[in-house]
This record gives sequence, structure tokens and C-alpha cells, in this order.
Amino acid sequence: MVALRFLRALSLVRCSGPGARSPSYRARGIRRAAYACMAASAGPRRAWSRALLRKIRRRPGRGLRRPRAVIRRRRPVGGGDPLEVALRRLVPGGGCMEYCRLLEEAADYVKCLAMQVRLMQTIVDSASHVNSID
Amino acid sequence: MPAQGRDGQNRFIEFAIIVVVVVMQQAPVSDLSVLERQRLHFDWQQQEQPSRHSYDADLCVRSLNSFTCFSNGLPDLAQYSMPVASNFEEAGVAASNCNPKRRKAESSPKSKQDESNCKRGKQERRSESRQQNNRKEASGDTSSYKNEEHPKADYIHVRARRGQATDSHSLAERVRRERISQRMKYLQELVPGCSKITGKAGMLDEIINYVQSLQRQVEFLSMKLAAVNPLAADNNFSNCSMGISSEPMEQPFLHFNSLQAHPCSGLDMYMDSSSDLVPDGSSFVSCSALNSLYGVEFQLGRGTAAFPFQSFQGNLLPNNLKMEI
Repeated sequence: MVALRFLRALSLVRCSGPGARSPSYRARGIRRAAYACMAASAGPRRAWSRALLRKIRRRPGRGLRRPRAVIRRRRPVGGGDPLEVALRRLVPGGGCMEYCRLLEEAADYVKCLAMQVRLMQTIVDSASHVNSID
Repeated sequence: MPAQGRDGQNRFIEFAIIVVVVVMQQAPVSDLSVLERQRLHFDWQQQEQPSRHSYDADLCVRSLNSFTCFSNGLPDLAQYSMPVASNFEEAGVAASNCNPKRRKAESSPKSKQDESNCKRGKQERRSESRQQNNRKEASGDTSSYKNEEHPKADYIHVRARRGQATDSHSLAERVRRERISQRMKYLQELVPGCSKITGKAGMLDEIINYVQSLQRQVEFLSMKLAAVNPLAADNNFSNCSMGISSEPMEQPFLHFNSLQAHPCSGLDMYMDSSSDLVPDGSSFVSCSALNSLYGVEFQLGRGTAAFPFQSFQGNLLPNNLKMEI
């Protein structure tokens, strides 16, 4: 599921600006597409996927804010443990969760990240393989 | 009641019986194995003393720790006290030889208040009686544990080990700690190289390093993809895919279910457009790459949606179309 989505998104990124964009711009777009595909395929059930999609879709410069149906809970977490704080920063949406939930979300996030990395690695490998054939 | 209690004293084992009250809904799924053990042991218990007050099967089953108490091979375990009787005063009378017991009140409205009172009182008494060999007292109360009361009271009664506090807060904390340790174990399996590390801090460190390395890899691979594939997409292909690929970006939640069905139509679009594409304008991945991609997904357990696509592969990629670099 992720593979298909990502391929589509890749082609979209490629279509958006054939020669005018610098590679770094394209790289950023690809990275954003990767995270978006990962989060979209994970589904809305996961807190990290929701937070990730929210972060991606919230572009800088978009002034209009729709009223949110769900009130995000901003519970001040007494982060005494530097490791816990670091984990919260790494996992998207990890600022408002309980520790137990954070570990759960981190596990799922790690799994999806690993899959995404393998997917991209395969694509790069196949691309370079095709390249080397020519 | 005290007489019956003294009867049971002959069969005491050296455990302090404390019953932890936990909210039922928070019982983690992974406790099932423990619950099954509890169930087995409870069946054994039932066989031993059927004449005694009826236990609530659900109560026993959901107890977390009691199995470890019984694994020491003391078969003549007296019936352990089940939570909450209405006779709080009896328990107060039998302070010297009683183990803190939770007795389930006959009337559920009173149950919570009684339990909290029981807990506090019994904690004190337990600390007093700790010097004595704590013996398990046969619950002399005649309160019958009604199964139908249990769902109303909505409690899980578990047994804690000796030497541990009976406070509801600490008990809840203990449950929370166990859940956290379960999650950590799962994470340990997920992260490669974490099985050798013991200790929460080391594991957390390893997990954080792993997540950071994965994110760095994503960045690096995206840069590589951008460098390796200069944009050479065909307009037809882009027009076809725009309507479909924009969906997941825009409204993933509403269309999530419909997207499961859409990929088939998406592939149809690909198939239709492939015939129109000039070879050097296509951006299809080669067949082998697609196979390996699906292999990646299958391995990671998310490839269930990709099964129907395998039949498309033969038609999807004509041989003359490959990814142009």
C-alpha cells in the first residue's frame, strides 16, 4: 500500500517542476512526500500519523485556520527524563501523550519508518540498476 | 466468623494477601496469558473447595500477580480472600491474625466506599501483622460473590505480592509500570541490537538512536532519489495520476476506506496511459523493482492490500517501458 502511494507521490513531485527546481528543493519535496505517504498508509488510528499529516499539511503562509473539532490536549508533561524528552521530540505528536502511549506510538512509528526506508532503498537500488544497464 | 477464620488458619501460607483494585477497562491485552494461567489456577481452586463461598471467576481471572504466589507448590492453599465483604467490622475485629482482605460488598453502591475504607484500614493492620508470619486466613465471611455484581462494580481484583503496598495509587502505578515494561519489551524486539541491552535507560537510548538514524536515512535517500531521477515525467501520466494521488494528500481520513478500492482504478489508469507514453517519457518502475517493492511490503506485514495488484504486473509494464534515468 505504501509502495503504490509513494510511487504516485514521487511522480507527482517529479511532475511539479521538471527542470526549474534545484535538487535540494526536489529532495525536500520527496522527503515530505515520503512522510506523507507513510502517515497516510498508517491510517488515522495512530496519533503519530495524524500529527505528522497535520504538520505536513500546515504550510507556512497559510493563514486561514479551520476550527478544529477535536481539542488537542496540551498537557504539560513534567519531562524530567532527558531520554523521554528526546523521544517525545522525535516521535510526531509525542508532546501530549502519556509515557505508555508514547512507547506504543514510538513502536509503530519505528516500524513504519523502517518500511519506508526499505522502500526508498529499493527504489534507489532499482533506479541505479537500470541506470547502470544503459 | 472468627471461628471459621481460625479454621482456615491451619492452612496458611506465608503470603500477605493484598488485593489490588484496578479499573477493568485498563487491563492491557497482553495480560491474557497471565489471565489464562489465573483461570487454570482458579479452576484448580474451585475443585479444592467447592463448598466455600463462590468465587467470582472473573475476579480471579483478572488478577495479575496471584499466580506467582501459588507457584511455590503449596497445595493446601486456603481460599484466598476475595475482595469486599459487607462485614468490614469483622475484619476490624480479626485484626491480629487477619491478612488484609478485600471483601466485595453485597450491595454494590456501598462497595466502593467500603473498599476504600477496607484498603486503608487493612494497610495499617497489615503493617502491624507483618512481624507475625502472615497467614492466610480463611475468609470467614459468608458474603457470596455474585457474578452479576462484578460488572456493576467494574473492578479488577488482583493479588499483589508480599511486602508491597496496598494503596490504590501504588497499585495503579504498578499496573502502569507493568504496561510500560511490556511496551519496552516490544520495542526491544523491534529495534535491532537491543536485545543485549538490559535496563530502561540503555534501551531508550538505543531506540532514540535508531529513530534518528532512520530519519537521517530517509533524508539521505530522498536526496539520492532527487539526484538520481531528474524530472522527466510525461504530461499524460501526470494528468492521469493527479486526480488519484491528490486524494491521499488532501483528505486521508474521509477517503481512507475508499482509497482501498481506488488503487485498482489507479492501476487501470496507469495501464491506459502506458500505451500512450513515449518510452523516454515514462517513469514507470521496472517489473523487478515492483516485485521487490511488494516483497518489502509483504515482509513487513502490510502487503495485504497489494495482493490484488500482482495480477496487474504482467500487463502493467510493457517491456520497452522502463524507468528513465
